[in-house]
Amino acid sequence: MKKEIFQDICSQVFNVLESNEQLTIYLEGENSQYFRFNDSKLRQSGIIEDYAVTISLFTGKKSLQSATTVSSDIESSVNNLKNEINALRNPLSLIPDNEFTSFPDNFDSIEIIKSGQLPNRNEILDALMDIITKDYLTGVWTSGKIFRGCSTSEGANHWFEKDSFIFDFSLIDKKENMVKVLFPGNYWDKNKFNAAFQEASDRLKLMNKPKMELKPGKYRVWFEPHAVADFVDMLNWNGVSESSLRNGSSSLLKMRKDGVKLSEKFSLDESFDRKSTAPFNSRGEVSENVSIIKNGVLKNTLINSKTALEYGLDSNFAEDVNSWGMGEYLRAPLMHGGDIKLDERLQRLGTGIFISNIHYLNWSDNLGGRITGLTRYSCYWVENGKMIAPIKTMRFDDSFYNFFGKNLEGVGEDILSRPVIETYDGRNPGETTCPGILVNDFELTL
Amino acid sequence: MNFKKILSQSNSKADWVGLRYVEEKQNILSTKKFALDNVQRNATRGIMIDVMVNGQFSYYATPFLDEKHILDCIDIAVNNAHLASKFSVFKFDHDAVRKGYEGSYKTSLKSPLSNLSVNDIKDLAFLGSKNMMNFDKRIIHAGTTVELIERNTRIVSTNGADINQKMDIVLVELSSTAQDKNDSQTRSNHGMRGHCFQAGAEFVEDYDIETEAKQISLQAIELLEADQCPTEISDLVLAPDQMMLQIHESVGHPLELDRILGDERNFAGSSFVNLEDFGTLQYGSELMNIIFDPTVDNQLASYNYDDGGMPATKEHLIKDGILVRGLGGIESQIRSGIDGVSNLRASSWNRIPIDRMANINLEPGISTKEEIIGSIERGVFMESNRSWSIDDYRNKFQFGCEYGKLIENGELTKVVKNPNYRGITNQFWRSLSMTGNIDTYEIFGTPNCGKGEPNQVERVGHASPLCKFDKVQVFGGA
Repeated sequence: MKKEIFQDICSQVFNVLESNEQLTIYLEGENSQYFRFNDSKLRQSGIIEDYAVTISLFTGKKSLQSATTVSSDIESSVNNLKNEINALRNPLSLIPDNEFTSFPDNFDSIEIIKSGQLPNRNEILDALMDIITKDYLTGVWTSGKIFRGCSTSEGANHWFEKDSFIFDFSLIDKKENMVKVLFPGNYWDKNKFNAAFQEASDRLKLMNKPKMELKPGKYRVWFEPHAVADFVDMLNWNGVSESSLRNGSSSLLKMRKDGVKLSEKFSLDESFDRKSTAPFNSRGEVSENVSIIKNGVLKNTLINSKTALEYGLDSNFAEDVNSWGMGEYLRAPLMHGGDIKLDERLQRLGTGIFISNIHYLNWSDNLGGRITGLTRYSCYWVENGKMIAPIKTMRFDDSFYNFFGKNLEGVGEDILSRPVIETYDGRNPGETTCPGILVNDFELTL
Repeated sequence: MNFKKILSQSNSKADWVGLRYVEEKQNILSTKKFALDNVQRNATRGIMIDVMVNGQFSYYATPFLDEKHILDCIDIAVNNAHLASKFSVFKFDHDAVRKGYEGSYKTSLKSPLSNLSVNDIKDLAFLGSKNMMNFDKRIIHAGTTVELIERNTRIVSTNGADINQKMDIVLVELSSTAQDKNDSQTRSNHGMRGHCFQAGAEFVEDYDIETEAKQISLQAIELLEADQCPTEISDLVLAPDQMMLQIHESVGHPLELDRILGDERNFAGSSFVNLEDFGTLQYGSELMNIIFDPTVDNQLASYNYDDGGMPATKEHLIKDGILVRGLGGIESQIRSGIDGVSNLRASSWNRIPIDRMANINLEPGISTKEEIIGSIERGVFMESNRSWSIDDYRNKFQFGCEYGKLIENGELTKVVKNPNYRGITNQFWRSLSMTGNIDTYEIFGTPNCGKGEPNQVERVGHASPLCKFDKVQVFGGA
């Protein structure tokens, strides 16, 4: 969808508002090609065009939302949105005022267009198959444009558009050893992909040894950046949200109430500097960078405008609650790097576990900061700085007050951006940016 | 829109074309403490165009319901299927994999949900919040969410399929948090979003929200004052609202044939179950009888046809503890040669159908609750899931519950907080030593089951009696 079409739809819809009404219109769109592979053969192939629009109609201290779909056909889209506004008017008149409802302040309009060079849709499959049939690949290729737009009846017109592709895949050998790769970009280069594939294939060959079974206990561990990103992302779920702190469900409650600190090596920001995702939220409010935890100390939380009104705080324009019931989540998390160089990881680890990826995390004790999950993909036992053998899947259960706290021995110098690969509500342009970490006494339980 | 006419106008060179139109309206209202928190309508509609060329499917999903656009999309999908068919994982026979049935389904109800006004929903939600908030100042948060969903699906195809299905779906979530200077504890009605089912507007009259809301808050207060769940090996009794999650994660997912065939290895994961295990694997004790049953009235995932157009029937997946059938739709059945079920399901118009759970239920046994509790010298009773995690082969699990009670000398005694347990799937199910009778049997659902690439969430129903497991590793909080 072109920006002009979205903004034309919006301006026509704003014209039907009555004098006491205000409206925001938020677009999340994509036009994407998907190929799903199993053992380097094609399982599913398709195209999805989806333009999901959420409108919020305000009259004074009342507001109702409606989510619907639009298309590049302006007339039918305008009619659809007019119908939704009409459908909201009657229930809006019936509900009571909500003192925490506010129409968003006006912000200068933002336009970010990250153009790239995406592969030709008729040619990419042949190009991929040339390479991936050299090994056994299972995963999904996604490419196309991602859109975000937000316009308000008070004149804000934000637009974010990104060309991007991501090949999210696993190489799997006959013994079911696996290596996980995310190959994202916005300029397609077959040679670069071939090199990444070959590197992964070489890593998989290193795993062709009998797997070691570790016993439950405490271990010294190096976590690669993608594993750390999974831990950081857990803080989006009853963590950095001011609302969750206020309602007693945040894992950071001990930091707020008791002044508990993490390691001074741990710092976490919400940072839009990389422009990987839209800095405006679904209300059209534009977020600045926020220092969440600095050198182990909780500095700020994410506060949306509703929470700000409810508790008398300043909003930092965090996101409203999404379809998963999560609000005030990190859209551009950045964990700061440290001083462990890439080629020093194994030496610094010495003897312990090298964990590339983790899987299926959940809080086992939210307020205690305890997270359980499992090792997955290429995880190795290391002795005296040398990789010995892959390990069998192990369950862990430990608190981030330990592994981001007293047990955090060191942090990697290089930081790596992991794009959001979840597509439940469509493709998401965001990413989580993290270094690797070296941890003592990490607890494996099963 | 005349879908059959569109199919007749298409000049594509496809061997088969199917159109699946989905329209879903959601009315969501939530309250927080004594205030209205959010009121939202969601109205999505669009069409999934699926074609087959040379035994290979390809799809195009669009919300733009214009005849010419749909015809253009069919042509694009045909071109893509042609390109893709050189590399197929499996070549399907279109008449074998899409049968062309005609039929319909409608939720069993007295009055459609559309008869409820926003005031009706608001009053119900406030009734929940008021009864959670009103009696103890340590209750710092009470939230109620009511979701009413009306979903219409129409499937037509070039080989004669014509299926209409209409589902009315209800979800009511209550959540109460109690806090003192040392702790914070949350209780809900049957775990996160577990109270969901198909129903009409009459559910408002049928649901005793006041009693449930009060009980939740009382138990949140009890948990503040409780000891941690002990760390030990002991007998474990699970309430049906935790059995829902146990069945879902350690029976439902590992039996999905597309996982066993490897499709999900890059995302959701694989399975410890192999194709050779069907008909022979002792999955659990002889008390374990698991059925796939979309034909139950009013359970969350009830339907007459799956999204591949196949008629749904009740089938045993595990009978007397032996694995007998896979959770695989017609595509996986053909690929694997294993008996399956009609479970090709898609979350909406913008996702293709894949192997999913529908209603996966554990059949009741013969024991009363008193007999189960009375049989235990030392154990823990747990209810309402709050934490779930399992490995990618569905072996090593760890689950946490909101509320627990010690069982001592055959009686339920004191409340314990932060109850968790962990185990390994087959060992755990083989330790199933008592199943409750029909009086202990309850029906729940989970609306957020994630799977697939691109990802999709599906609504799944689960029902279970009270169950006893022997010698399980249980533990408490930090």
